[in-house]
Amino acid sequence: MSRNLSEGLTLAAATGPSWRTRLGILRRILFRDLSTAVGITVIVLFVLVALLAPVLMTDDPWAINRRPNGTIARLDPPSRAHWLGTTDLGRDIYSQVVVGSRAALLVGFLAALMTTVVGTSVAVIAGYFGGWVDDLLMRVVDFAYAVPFVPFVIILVSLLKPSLANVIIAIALLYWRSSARVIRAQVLSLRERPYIKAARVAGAGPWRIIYHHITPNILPLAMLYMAIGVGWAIITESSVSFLGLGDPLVISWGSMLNLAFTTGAMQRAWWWVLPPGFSIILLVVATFLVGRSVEEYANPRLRGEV
Amino acid sequence: MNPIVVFDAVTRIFQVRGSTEAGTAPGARIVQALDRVSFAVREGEILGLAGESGSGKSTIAELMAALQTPTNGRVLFNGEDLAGLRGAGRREFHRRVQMIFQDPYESINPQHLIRWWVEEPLEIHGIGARADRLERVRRALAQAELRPPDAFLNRYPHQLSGGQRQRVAIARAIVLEPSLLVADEPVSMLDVSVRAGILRLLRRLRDELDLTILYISHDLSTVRYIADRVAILYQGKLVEIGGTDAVMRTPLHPYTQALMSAVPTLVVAGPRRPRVLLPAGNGSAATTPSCRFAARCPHAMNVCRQREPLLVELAPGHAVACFLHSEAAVPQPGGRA
Repeated sequence: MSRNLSEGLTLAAATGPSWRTRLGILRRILFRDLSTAVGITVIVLFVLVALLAPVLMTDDPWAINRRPNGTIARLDPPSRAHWLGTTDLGRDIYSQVVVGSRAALLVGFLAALMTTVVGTSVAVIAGYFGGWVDDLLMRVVDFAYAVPFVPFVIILVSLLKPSLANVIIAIALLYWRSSARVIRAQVLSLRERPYIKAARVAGAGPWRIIYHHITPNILPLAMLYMAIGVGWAIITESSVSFLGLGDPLVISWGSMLNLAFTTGAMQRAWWWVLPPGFSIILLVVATFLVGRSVEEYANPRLRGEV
Repeated sequence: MNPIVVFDAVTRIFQVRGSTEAGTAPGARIVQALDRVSFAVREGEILGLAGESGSGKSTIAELMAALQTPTNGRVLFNGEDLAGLRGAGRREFHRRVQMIFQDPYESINPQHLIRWWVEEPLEIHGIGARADRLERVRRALAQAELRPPDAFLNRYPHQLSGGQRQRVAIARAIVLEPSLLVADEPVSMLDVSVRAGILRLLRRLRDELDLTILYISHDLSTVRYIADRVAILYQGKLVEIGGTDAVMRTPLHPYTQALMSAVPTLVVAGPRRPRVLLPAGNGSAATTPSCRFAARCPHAMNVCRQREPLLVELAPGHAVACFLHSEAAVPQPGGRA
């Protein structure tokens, strides 16, 4: 079995690998080096935390806790009752960090997925059809590049309303630009391949060619943008929430930092700042570690096969 | 024999988009790939098309398969102008004209199984039910000498050798039972050991499937092996066309003579054909009418630099565009092979 696999890989390296072998290569690359394995482990842990949040939480994250003497447990340091201490309103920080993983992962993956789908579609259509379609779509990309992100989100959120969905939409509306531009370049090279000509000779229409002949060949690159996009989306959601433009009804790591900052507790209550801060860093670094190895997979030059 | 394809004074010009960053004036670079090329492919024949790289061979192939459209002139398939093909007519054309390409590693999509790749044309044209299609795929693979076909159905292109891949490309081309096959340098990327097999296969398919084949190559020895007639292309101009034997034995155009002298022979006895060496260069981009070969031609005369020779039929079916042969080279209308 392993012998067959390695033979397949050598063959695939020498020629164009099939989709199935590519999955094999991907699996090999993902688990080959330590940093990727660490990245995957961290992501899997966060996904588990998000899924099992109701079990893992020790408290309702919105509940206002009181000390035994009846006063509100404002900014209590970590203790047995509150593992990571409490906020200025006596809310349990550990439970907030746990439930905050849901917002981070939801935004991260949904926004990255939307970004990739939009970017890839634009890229494939612009690259394949060329001409005025290409010109038009690429000018839209230029426009998207020119829009500064934070002011855009401020305007969008104030026009609509601060909600997780709107943050996701804002991210998707702007971040598709880079995948669109790079994948289009790939499509430009793909569409001149003889097998595209062979498809046209057989009478294949543009949509069939795009679906069956172009898209399968740009999927690795799209996956790379997706992997990188997850990290960016999480950072962006955190920044937006930190600025107070996030969904007020959803606890996210960014909104926790926002409250810690606006209440002025940041200087005193390290337990309110470090847990969400480190969670963001840990998850984002993990996605970039994975993204790096997906890049290795998408770009044969990086895996030593020119 | 009826012509199946007719090129009627076909000109193809490529405009190289000058990048403004580099300071090139837009439209400054124009490449004339074909210049008023006229010829016919006769039903049932194998027409060889030879010429050096950049002579326009592949442009002719792609025009014939409707992958490109002529800048000027007409390409007729069974008397119908390809430019006017729409809807059902266009579908029918794509069923009846198929093409195989030079690089068998690049001309098959690596993502798909062989069975999918060979079946796709049937799917596009809505031919047959699923089971029937699979049967047709098997038959096409067997006809392309991939036997037993079942051993190839569920494999990926990268699991096959170059020769096998080219046979898969041929199977895909014949699965629609076309009447014309355009073969653009089908063996030039293959090992010498498998070339003969592919060439024999093409000839056999012509006989068994009533195919007409346009065989393109820069290698005259394979053209001689397979073709009934030969057309010689030089810088987008048809310089000579005729029966394979006639053109190979008594080449009339100095360029053809030079090409022929470059073909290695095994003939030991008898007079060796003297080697014709041409000066380097690719002639001038013709701004004034002249013979494009004049700059490299060992026999160039004054007239060659002042006028452009027309293709004139010297012997039945053997035409050449050269002032050495046509009386004072008076350009006459007609003279199409």
